[in-house]
Amino acid sequence: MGSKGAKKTTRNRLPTSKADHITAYLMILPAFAILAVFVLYPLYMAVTKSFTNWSFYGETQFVGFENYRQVIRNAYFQKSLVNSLKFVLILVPSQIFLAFLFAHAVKKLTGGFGTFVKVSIYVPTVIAGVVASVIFIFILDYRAGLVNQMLKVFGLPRMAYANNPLLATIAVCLVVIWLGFGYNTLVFYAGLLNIPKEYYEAAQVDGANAFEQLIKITLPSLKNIFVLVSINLVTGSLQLYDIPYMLTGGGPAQTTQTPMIYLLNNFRDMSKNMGLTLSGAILMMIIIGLCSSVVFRIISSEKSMDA
Amino acid sequence: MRKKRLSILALVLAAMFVFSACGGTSPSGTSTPTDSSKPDTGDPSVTKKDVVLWNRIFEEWNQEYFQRMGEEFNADPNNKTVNLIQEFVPGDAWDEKMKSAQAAGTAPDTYVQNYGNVIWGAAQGLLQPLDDYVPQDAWDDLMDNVKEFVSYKGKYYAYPQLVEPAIVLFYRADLFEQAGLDPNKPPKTWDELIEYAKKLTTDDVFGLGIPGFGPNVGWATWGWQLQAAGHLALSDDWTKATVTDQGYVDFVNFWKRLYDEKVVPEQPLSDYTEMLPYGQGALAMKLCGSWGLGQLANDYPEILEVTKVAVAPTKDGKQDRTTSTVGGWTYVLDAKARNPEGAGEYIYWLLGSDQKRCADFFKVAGYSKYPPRKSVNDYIMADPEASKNESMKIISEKIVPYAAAEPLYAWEISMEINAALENVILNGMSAEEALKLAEQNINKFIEDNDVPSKKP
Repeated sequence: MGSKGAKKTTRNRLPTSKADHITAYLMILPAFAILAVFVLYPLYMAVTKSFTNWSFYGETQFVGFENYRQVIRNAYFQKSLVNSLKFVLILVPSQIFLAFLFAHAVKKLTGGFGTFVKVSIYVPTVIAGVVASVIFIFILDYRAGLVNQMLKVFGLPRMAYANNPLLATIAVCLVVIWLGFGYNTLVFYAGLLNIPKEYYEAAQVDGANAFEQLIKITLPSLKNIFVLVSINLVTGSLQLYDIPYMLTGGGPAQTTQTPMIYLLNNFRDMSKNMGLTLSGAILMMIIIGLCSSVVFRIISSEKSMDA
Repeated sequence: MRKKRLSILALVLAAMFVFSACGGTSPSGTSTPTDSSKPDTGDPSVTKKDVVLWNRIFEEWNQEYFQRMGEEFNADPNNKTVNLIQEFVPGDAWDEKMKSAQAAGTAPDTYVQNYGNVIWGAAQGLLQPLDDYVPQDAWDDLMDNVKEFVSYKGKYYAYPQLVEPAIVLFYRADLFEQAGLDPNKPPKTWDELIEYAKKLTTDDVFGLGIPGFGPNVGWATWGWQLQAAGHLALSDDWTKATVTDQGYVDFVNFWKRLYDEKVVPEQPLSDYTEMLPYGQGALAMKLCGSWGLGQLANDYPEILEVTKVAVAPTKDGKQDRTTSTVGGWTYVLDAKARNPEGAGEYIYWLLGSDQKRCADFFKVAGYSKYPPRKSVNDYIMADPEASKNESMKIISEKIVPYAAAEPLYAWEISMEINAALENVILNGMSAEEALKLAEQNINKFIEDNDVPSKKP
């Protein structure tokens, strides 16, 4: 009750005079202008052009939902969506689990070694996806890669990851997890540091064991972090492009083809109009928006609402 | 209410992510048309008008050659009206750069385009006909089949620079001898190809390199489909799939045998277009386009010395038939070209006039590419050095004359053949089942996309 009252009081303190309103609008104007120029206008253009057969030069005709119908019925787009879902289901829980686990370990590390570990795990984050893919291509190369050379030493047959759907999926996931591990771990680490020690001390006094402390204190306190990381990972997994493109080209048998690769292939295909590609992009925008919204709902947090 | 707000916020954020992901990075390159007239150094009363050309980056020698040609053209005393501005664009940045320029209205006057995209470019209104800008004698000199590649609705939309067959068998004569094979008798049948590849396979060397699954199989097996079935995957009127006959079944089963007999690497060692693994000694035979000769001459001259080329083996060994499609590059005129006359002048100067100038290009290319003009071909064949070139003789006499144009139909259709091969080789499906599935998928695609109406 007290907190609700406090909220009301806070709201009543918001500026209400005309001068304050003008100042506030002036302050958000630059950000809004940038948003309008670089997001809203392109979005408006993309939506309107997606209903046409636009191809830059020729006469543009309104085609209704024809582009959307073609994209939705396209078997490659459908398969790429299924692949994306597969990547979300693999990458989001595994990355959250690994990062959360490792953040706990890092929290206990102190001194120079602790700093070294924190820096080391963050290093992959600054590497571009394309570069990371090239590194793994060298490691996994069929003829001269490190993995296959080691298999050869043990008299085992070579591993052709790009011709095996399971291995190709694992290879892509491996690179994605390696790249994102440092960032996600540090976000969880920062979250863990934010939890007051007094909570744990009080729990210990009450006789709570480590598991109970995790369930009752750590996880609820990290809800905002889970929301942030989950949204980032779901969005990132749905937009996965450079790593599968470089590592597998979307193969074998389209098992690693993502919607973004499908859209890029459409964009480069001169026999297709740009409206078709844009309709695919708009569909993906809606899907990603819906997925993000679902994640918000699943991990709905009072604290995050108040923040 | 809050959840609704959050949903809207999520949607806007997603939009930002989508558009940031879809907006590719701009490639390097700064040359842009200036539209400024420059005084001719010889005669101040005559001005030269800019023509912007976007060329593609291929081999180093290729870029050097065309750079020199551009400079020679600008310095040519007979050229009093055109100032050529040539920019070289990497292939992997081409589409993004070109589409951005077209959207912004800053596309070059003329650019290099492959045969496969000429007709689509014309159909989409991206190109304009060249008939009025290149003199008639240059058109008359083109080989008849090449004229078809660049024609749309009775007009010429590109002037060809070269033709390249996509399927040539490269093999190591020295490894043939070591394996007890006669290097002068390359495999002619599918059975012989597998038998030879088995004999050539060692712990460190694979017998044969073929295109890997994915886009490479999609386009680099067109010639194999033609030689096996006598046609491609779509009927002439583009109304139905034609992939379930015995020819296609035989082709798919042959491809499977290559893997079953372990004569090809389970995973390709490089892109189909690259000769690198062959040059490094990891392959005894490799299928590649004729451009492979140029790569060997440039990067692996010692391997070129022990390399021979042959026609791709056929099921029955008869080689007087199509075993390859032929692709290559052309010069096209942008539909919004600011100086079409000047662009036409350069194209005629570079490709349509002096035979010696044109023949020089093919000489520099190590005869790994072939002229689309009859008179240039005659000029080259009269050159003793060229006539002694065994590889050129085999490619120009036994492959190019039978070669077919690349299909224009949608890429999804070619990828269904790749899917059929993947289903048979990776997923254990029978050839008949896989091709039936491919037929269904292609026919569904035809229906969904009204494919017949899009035939140029």
